[in-house]
Amino acid sequence: MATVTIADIDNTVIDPATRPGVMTGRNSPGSVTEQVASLAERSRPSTAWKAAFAISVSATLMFFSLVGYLIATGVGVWGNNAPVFWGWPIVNFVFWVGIGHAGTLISAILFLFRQNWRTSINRFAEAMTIFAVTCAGIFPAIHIGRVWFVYWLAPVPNSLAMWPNFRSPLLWDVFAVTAYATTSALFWYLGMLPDLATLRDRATTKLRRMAYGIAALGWNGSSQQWRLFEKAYLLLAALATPLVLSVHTIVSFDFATSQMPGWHTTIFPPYFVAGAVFSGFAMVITLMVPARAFFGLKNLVTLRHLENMCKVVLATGMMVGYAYGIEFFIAWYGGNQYEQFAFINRALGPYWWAYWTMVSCNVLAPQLFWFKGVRTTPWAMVAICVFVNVGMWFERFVITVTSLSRDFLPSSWGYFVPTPVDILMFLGSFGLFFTLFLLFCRYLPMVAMAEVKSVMPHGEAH
Amino acid sequence: MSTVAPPRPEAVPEIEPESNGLVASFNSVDTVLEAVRVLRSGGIERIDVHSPHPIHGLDDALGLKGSPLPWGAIAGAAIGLGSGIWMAWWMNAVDYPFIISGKPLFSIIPSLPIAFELAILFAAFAVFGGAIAFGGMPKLANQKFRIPSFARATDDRYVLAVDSRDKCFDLVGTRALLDEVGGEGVTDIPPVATSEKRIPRTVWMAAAVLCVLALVPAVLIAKARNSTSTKPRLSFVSDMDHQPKFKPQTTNSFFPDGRSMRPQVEGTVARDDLREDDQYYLGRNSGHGGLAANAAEKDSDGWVTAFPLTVDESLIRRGRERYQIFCATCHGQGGDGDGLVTLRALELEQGTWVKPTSLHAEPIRGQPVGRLFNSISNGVRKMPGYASQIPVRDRWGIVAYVRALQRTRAATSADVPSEILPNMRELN
Repeated sequence: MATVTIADIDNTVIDPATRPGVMTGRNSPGSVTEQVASLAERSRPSTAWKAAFAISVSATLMFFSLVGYLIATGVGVWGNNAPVFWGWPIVNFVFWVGIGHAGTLISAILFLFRQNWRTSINRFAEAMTIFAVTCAGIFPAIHIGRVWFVYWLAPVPNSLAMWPNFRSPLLWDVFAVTAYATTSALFWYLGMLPDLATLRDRATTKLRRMAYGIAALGWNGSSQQWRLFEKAYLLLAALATPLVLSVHTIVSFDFATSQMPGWHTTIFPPYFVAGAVFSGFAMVITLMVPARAFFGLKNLVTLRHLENMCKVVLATGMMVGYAYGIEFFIAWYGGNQYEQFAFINRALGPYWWAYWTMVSCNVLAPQLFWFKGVRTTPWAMVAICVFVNVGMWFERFVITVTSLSRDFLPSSWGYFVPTPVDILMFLGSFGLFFTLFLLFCRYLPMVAMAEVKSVMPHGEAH
Repeated sequence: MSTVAPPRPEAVPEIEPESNGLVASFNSVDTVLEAVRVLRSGGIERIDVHSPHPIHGLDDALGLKGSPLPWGAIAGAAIGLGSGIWMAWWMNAVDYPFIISGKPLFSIIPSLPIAFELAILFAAFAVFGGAIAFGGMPKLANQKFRIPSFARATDDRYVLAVDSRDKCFDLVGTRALLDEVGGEGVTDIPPVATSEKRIPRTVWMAAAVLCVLALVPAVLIAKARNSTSTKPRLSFVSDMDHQPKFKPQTTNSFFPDGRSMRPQVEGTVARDDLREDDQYYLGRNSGHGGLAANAAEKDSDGWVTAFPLTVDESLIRRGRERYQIFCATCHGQGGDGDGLVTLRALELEQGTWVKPTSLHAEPIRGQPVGRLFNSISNGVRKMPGYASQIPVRDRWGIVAYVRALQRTRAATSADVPSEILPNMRELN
């Protein structure tokens, strides 16, 4: 009975006769429950978790202290000044929103395409989406200056009889990011209900049973609940797919609907979406490789999963590279001398170092993924993906700062210099991201157990 | 579905008080699906399968069909789309028109991004809410959770439950049937004890207290919005309310005289403040007192008798307009001292109102234009001065118009040019 095929050990080997399994080794519903749920049930976290948590919580505290300092003092603590009024805060916003997109892509688009391998990583990636969008949302909110008037962004009846401007892409952005964060959270939570019920039913203390019991809303896995669950999951996937494409499209409208050379281009929406998926997948790999090793999930999150994600990174990386090329082509072909200046200035002007960092990290580094040896070596892919994340941050920096620093009035041209507050806030946002992520790993089911069980061969009595 | 024997009539029971039904565990999808088929062919309809993952083919086996969720999604999307477009139209084109670069106040394309996002958002709410509500959630208490073996329905077992309300349910017979199809650990679903059905009194009390407390902020806000207060408003962030600057009539320790308002520097004239022409600016000839002079002075005090500016039709028309704005409310359109304010004041009979003198009274008719100008500028008796409201030229315009009004009462047809006379009624 126990014939071990090559696919049980290494499912990256392509054997045309068989479809490679989603998992390696021998798994059963019970073993999956045990493996995943026990991670959330440890009574004491490991020392490594505690150390990582201590670091990220300190960074989070630093972040919120700086936010408090900013609110009390004013946005002058940042390097934003004429003519670069959109400095690091907006760069960080676009960076974090982009990171989030991979989670929705994995959970929604791959679901619609019936890519079963997504089941092992979708919970993880969706969590990343929500935490990244949380980090993203903070930056524009504190960037408005008088933070206590942030509710003016919402159409709230007020004593000024004033409404937001519905023709402003910045307002579109508010709605897009809000809708995205909410829908992602609903999608994540709905998918997690059965797994929360599993944790409830395995709970050994009253506190855990009550906490997971309330969170699971009384899920009992009845056929009616599963039927509604599957329908709702499909519908939410179908809703999240156009949503995720629209969100970064609208983020790109913040730039593209302006008159600024280097921003005013129609390529921005697809270019931004591809870049977002690119950076998001890179972030998933960066987090997933250490997590699967640390939490012993190598049989669920297999090399094949990582390899597939590397292929996505390679593909989207080349789309981004294509967009970089086309921008130059259009600048020349369009015959607009301001546009031409903007692009020559990007590559050869005072920010040449940022531009070439971007190109080498985003276009050149992922080319290594053509080699299967690189695609199946975890440390190598993490290294490349860190480069990609650096490169994608620089892409947003290049777009935002090079265009603004050379605006239409040469007398106000300037060179943007960040302040320590800029830099520490960006680092602090990573602290917030990792704090939320470590809490997720500690208390919630990291792998979608129910979904994994539904794609494994059934009927095997264990 | 219905290929089987009719329900056994003797099995129609009174509801067994000690059981809500039966559960049995199965350890594979195939065995539980087979058990469902057997039970349904035995006429039992109220079957549920609790499983750790969705089972394909189970819906058909249980006869479950259709779902309201897609309709919910469509309804949510329609509401979201509609409200997005409505907000863009009503808020920016109707209630608070936003004029931006001469573009139309409303057009459909820029409204679409927000309408699209709201369509997705509302559809997602509808789908999520529908899945929760139609799935019978949230429902934290469930009798099945009291059965120890049921906990594995979210782990690795497939638990089949038969409801005791089924018309073919019979505790002994169904139990035997479940054993027969391979169900393990067949157990009763315990009925709800009557004492557990009630929510404890303390919970009700706590909920009531919380509800009342929750109303307090709302009531305070409502009170604040519907009453007046003499105290300055609370200002949590006061960076623009209190600015480091000196206002009129305040002290300032910086200057020796302690005033924050500075007197004019000697020997200087402020812009537009050079008013050398007394005839024009004061209505009197030079050398007859300064600004302190008032209307109590005699006619002989050097009042200007001829207009110190050219009087033409445009000046008189301007004067008529200013007169009707500033003067007619008290003096009346015709200058008889019967303006609306006067009529109302006299009607109230409060005794504090001094009726304006008719402009057609002989003493007024005899006043030189300079004195009329002075009365408008500095006021007479109860009448305040209008120098700060009405510019100099307009005051002369009013004087000219008053002169014209006075003329009308004493005029004869001989005063009218003969070519105008036939059509005079049509003139304005």
